Amino acid sequence: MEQKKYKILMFVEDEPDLIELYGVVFETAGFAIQSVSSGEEALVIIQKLIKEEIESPSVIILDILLPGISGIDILREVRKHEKFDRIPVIIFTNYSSVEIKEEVKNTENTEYILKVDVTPDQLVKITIKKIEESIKLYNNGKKTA
Amino acid sequence: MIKFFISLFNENVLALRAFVFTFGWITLSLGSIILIYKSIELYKKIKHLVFGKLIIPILIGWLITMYSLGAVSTFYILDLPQKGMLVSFPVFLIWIIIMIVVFFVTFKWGEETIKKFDEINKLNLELKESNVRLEKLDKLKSEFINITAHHLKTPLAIMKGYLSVLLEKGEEIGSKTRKEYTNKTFNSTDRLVKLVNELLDISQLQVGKQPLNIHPINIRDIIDEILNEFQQEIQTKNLNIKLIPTNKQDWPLIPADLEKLKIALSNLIDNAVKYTPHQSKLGAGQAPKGEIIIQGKTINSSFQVAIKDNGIGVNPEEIPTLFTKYFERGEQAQKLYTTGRGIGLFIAASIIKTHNGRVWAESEGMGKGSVFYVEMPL
Repeated sequence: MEQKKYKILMFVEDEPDLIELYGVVFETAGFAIQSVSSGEEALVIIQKLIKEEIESPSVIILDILLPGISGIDILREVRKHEKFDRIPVIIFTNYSSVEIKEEVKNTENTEYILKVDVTPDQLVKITIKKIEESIKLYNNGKKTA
Repeated sequence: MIKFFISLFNENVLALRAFVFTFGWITLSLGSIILIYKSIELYKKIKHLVFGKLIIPILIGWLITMYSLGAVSTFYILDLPQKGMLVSFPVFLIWIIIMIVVFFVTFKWGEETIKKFDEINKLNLELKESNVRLEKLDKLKSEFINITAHHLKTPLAIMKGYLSVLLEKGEEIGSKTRKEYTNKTFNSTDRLVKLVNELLDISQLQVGKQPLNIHPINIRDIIDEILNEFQQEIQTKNLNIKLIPTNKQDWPLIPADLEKLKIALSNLIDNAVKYTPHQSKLGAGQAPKGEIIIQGKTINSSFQVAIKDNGIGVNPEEIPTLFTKYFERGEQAQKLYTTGRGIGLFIAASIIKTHNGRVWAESEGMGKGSVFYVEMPL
């Protein structure tokens, strides 16, 4: 299947109903979901990724308001490491703040989407598009990571 | 009298001449020093005003006038034998009088002006501080609206998500999944209604509009109902729940408003469930299994419920502001809210207080769990 190449999706979300819904929709679209439900867990996973103990995700979908460490802190941590530059991050939240929108806009390979604005199918399409754009950007030699 | 003084000068008494000469110049020197000091002090305070910029030229003018008069007086005093004391004495006298008047008026006026400007500066400072406080409060209120909007949008996003799947793939997913998704949509509607009611409760509880409907109630029954509502999350996180005492009959009846107390306890239990992570997600050996212990006991004429968890804990410095309204939490607010702790604790505290009860929290710090206490009068 075409979608198989997207493989792993790291889904950082603390809302059980959304984890279940998006889990099913993304799995149907060919993704393997790595579900993370708190900021602390996300940091543990990032440490494992740095040490290359686990396979890198093709995309990270990140909520902002999480128990413990916030999603924006996770984004900053991810973008600190050059090796993760090619992994697109989609901030998927209902938290609408001008400052955070601005920060996301100024962060490369990162998108800001309000949960209430999209349906699961639309998010899948946006995610696939974002991955394809990222692959083009980094594989055409425009960027190195 | 005047003639006596003139005679003294005319007699050309050297000691008296030396005295008046020295007195004049000492007055001028000391006066100048104080005048310069006071003028600089005033200049520093009002240099931004037009008058402030004129202080230094006025000072220089004063000093030139005073020293010129001093020089003329000195010339006459030293020249006594030639000009005679009748000329030198009035010049000297005028010099001394002008100096004393100028210095007196200047000091008095300077003191008052400095005092006034000190008061104006103090008021200015207070105004600036109050402006900073208002700006901060305004920012926090905007943040409060952002967070509240987030809380309202979450059940809406769940409803929209499940409904879109039901609309687009309703026939493919099968009747069991269809029923499950319809249930989830329905539960989210309930959650939204509850949230809107809670937001209304905040304002009503604040102004004391809502009377309490007090009846003897079994607090254990309420806890069981709440735990049942959180069953899905408790199971997903594999949390261990303990109730002490285990026997229902050992929990006394307490006078309270059933609906309100349920909201308060639900917020506290929700807090414990939400902030106690799934053990396996943190990796082996990093955390013990998530556990929540709800313990009730009678202390004197009160009944205390302690909700203890081994979750992410609370920073000790955040505890004093944990139960206050979000935008009254000051510096801690943003941090607390971006990490998710919201209006729930404030609602719980407001309800308990209207029952003349107490609510407080204890935690040894981040990562060390926390205990939330509720004490209700029996």
